[in-house]
Amino acid sequence: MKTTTLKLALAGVLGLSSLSSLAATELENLMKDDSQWAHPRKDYANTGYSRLSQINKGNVRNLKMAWSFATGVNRGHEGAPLVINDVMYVHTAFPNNVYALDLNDNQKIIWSYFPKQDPSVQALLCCDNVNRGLGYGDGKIFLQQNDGTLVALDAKNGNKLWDVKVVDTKTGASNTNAPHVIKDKVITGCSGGEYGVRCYISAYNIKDGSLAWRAYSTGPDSETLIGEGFNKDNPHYSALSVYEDVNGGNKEGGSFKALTKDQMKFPEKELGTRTWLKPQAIKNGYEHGGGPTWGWYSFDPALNLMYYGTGNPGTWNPDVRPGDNKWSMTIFARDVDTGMARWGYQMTPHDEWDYDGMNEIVLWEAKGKKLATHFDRNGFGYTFDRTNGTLLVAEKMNPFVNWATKVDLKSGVPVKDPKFSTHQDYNAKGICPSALGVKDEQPSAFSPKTGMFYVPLNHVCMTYEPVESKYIAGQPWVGATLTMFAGPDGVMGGFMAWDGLKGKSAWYNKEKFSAWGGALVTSSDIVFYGTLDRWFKAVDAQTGKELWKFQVGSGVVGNAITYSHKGKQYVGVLSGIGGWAGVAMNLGLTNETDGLGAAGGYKELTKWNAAPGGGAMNVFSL
Amino acid sequence: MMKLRYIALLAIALPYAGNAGISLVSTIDNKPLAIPGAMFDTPAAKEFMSSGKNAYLGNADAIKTGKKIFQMYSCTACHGAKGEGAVGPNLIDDKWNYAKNANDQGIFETIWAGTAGGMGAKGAGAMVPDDPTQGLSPDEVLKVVAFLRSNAVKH
Repeated sequence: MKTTTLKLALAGVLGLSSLSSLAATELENLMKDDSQWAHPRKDYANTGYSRLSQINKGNVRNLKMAWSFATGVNRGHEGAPLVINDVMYVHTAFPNNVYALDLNDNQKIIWSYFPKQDPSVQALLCCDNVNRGLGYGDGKIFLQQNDGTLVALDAKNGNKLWDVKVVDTKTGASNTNAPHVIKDKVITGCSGGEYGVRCYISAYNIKDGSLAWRAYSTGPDSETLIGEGFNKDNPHYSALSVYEDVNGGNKEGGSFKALTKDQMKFPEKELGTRTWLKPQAIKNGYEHGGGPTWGWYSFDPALNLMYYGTGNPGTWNPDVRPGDNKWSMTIFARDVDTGMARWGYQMTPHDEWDYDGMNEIVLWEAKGKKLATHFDRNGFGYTFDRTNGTLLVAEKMNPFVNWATKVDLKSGVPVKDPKFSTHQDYNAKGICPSALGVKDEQPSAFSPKTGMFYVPLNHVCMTYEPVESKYIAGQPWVGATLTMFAGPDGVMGGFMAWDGLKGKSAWYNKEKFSAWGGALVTSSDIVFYGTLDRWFKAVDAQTGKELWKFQVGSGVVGNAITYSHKGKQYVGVLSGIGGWAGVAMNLGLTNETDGLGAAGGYKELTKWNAAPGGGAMNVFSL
Repeated sequence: MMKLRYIALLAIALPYAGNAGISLVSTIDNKPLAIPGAMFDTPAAKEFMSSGKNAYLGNADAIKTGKKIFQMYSCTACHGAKGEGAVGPNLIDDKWNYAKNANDQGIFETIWAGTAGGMGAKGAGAMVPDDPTQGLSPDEVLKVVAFLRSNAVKH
């Protein structure tokens, strides 16, 4: 009897594991098939690259709108639909409706899903009612609702298979990220850096929604899942402090001098608590330390490591949270089965500008090296050895970046310019970039063919005044006021090709407004992206020369995708202006004097868009 | 003795309904707001409760304090540093989602108990129902209103 049970149990375990690897294989096969778009950024590596080449430089000027689908929802439509086996799955801004469209039957709706969410959650979404899309795996469509609920829907009929509460909105937390299926898990994040939420990243088993692991961004090593071997090859990433106070540090006139690697003390443990020095605004700063995780997660199957960035520490007033504030503003590499961190590098220690470090990490190879590249809000483009986190390149993405003069490659520490240090009740002026970053969430694309990254950019600076603010659970806890204005180029955005090895742009185009749409690059060397003044563009990957454009119904904050259906290539993008870009653009509307004369620039956005922007999917073909 | 104490308790618990005073209603559902009378504990708050007038309008000290409170409670997150609007509505132009916000009683009611459109209650006892120590006193709300009115852009 006993042996029979054991045998059955064993059979069960084997069956389960082979099932989950089958599911993983299915998704991995879909990712390899360029007629599909089965993952938020198409593949585990986050490249946004497709080998489809029917649309090429010779014929792209003939692209015509094939069809469009109005989502019936207004405001910012970030992210992109999925295309799996001749069905397109479209998501919307709040209330996060989902539509499955039959590409074999004139985009007829196969099923739809309308979540019931408490409308009050909209007040928690700091930067518009956005949702960045869906995940797919094991025959399920995953939706991460704004209200913190992760839902698994049967891809065939939209029936809800399971749901689970990822974050508690009572604490001020919410969700905007796309869930990412990695192997047999679905990974999802946390928003709430402006609410004093202690954020984390979570992995759920796709089969039944049970929690596999959860890693906090701040707090004890046991909860940030940091253990033996962490930062083994770069122990200086685990230093207790990387700056020394100048003129008292955290007060008006104070600043921070970067330590050299020789001056730093490492490796240290429990940095997620010990880098929140006393006194904090609240008893233990790390308990409300932010570190949101709402970006795009990448994965290397050979290393079994997933990569993501954590966001800003709470509150925005740096004076009331002395210390480096780990592990906010950090790129983490974690074992996807256990969640244990392999390495972690903090890009902006003791953030003074809300340079929320959650942007995507793109995985690529060059010269036989396994690399990871990240374009941070703080304005530096980083390239790492992704096996161990060794920093290879850290260069300014644009010379207007002024808060730091450089990143010391030996120590990994940014050398801050004391002129742009921010302190309570002092209005620091002329800081570049603004909190929007040189690049925000809008993902870049990488072409293994050209070896280049294609990066949508902001060109906006700011004034930043930290103020005293009170932490109350579930209430905003911001602690700074800021004003944004166009950067030195006189425009507010740009788009560039970037060489990840040299740390230099190969070409750079100015954009009138922030380029807030994610990029797509194809093997025919065409780059697609959308703009806030409603253009959907195709440019030459080698030169940046514009090849084609089409004006859609509202500004684009979504990511361009491509797929093929019955042998024909399509490209598409969601339109519907919003996101922080839409919000920031509206900031200067009432006061002409605001924004140091750039108010005219902000104002002009309303000459291109009806407000609020209406959501639609736009699809093009030859 | 028991009776007296009972009456005293009742007086604290009952909504303020002073002689010839104003009565406050929620912006969400127009129902009366239950604000303990004892919370109207400054001359300006008392004056407001009897006449609906905000004695702090134009008062430089009150405006300064109002600005601090506006920052302290992160009102700036949604409404901008001066109330010019960001993700939340502009509070210093002449367009209002709720027409009554143009007068001081109306905007007091909106701040105190919130709206159905995303604005959370900010009044003490309304902001965090199980912790009445959190939130603004009536006097503080009047100072915030004075700050906002001082930033108003004339049209």
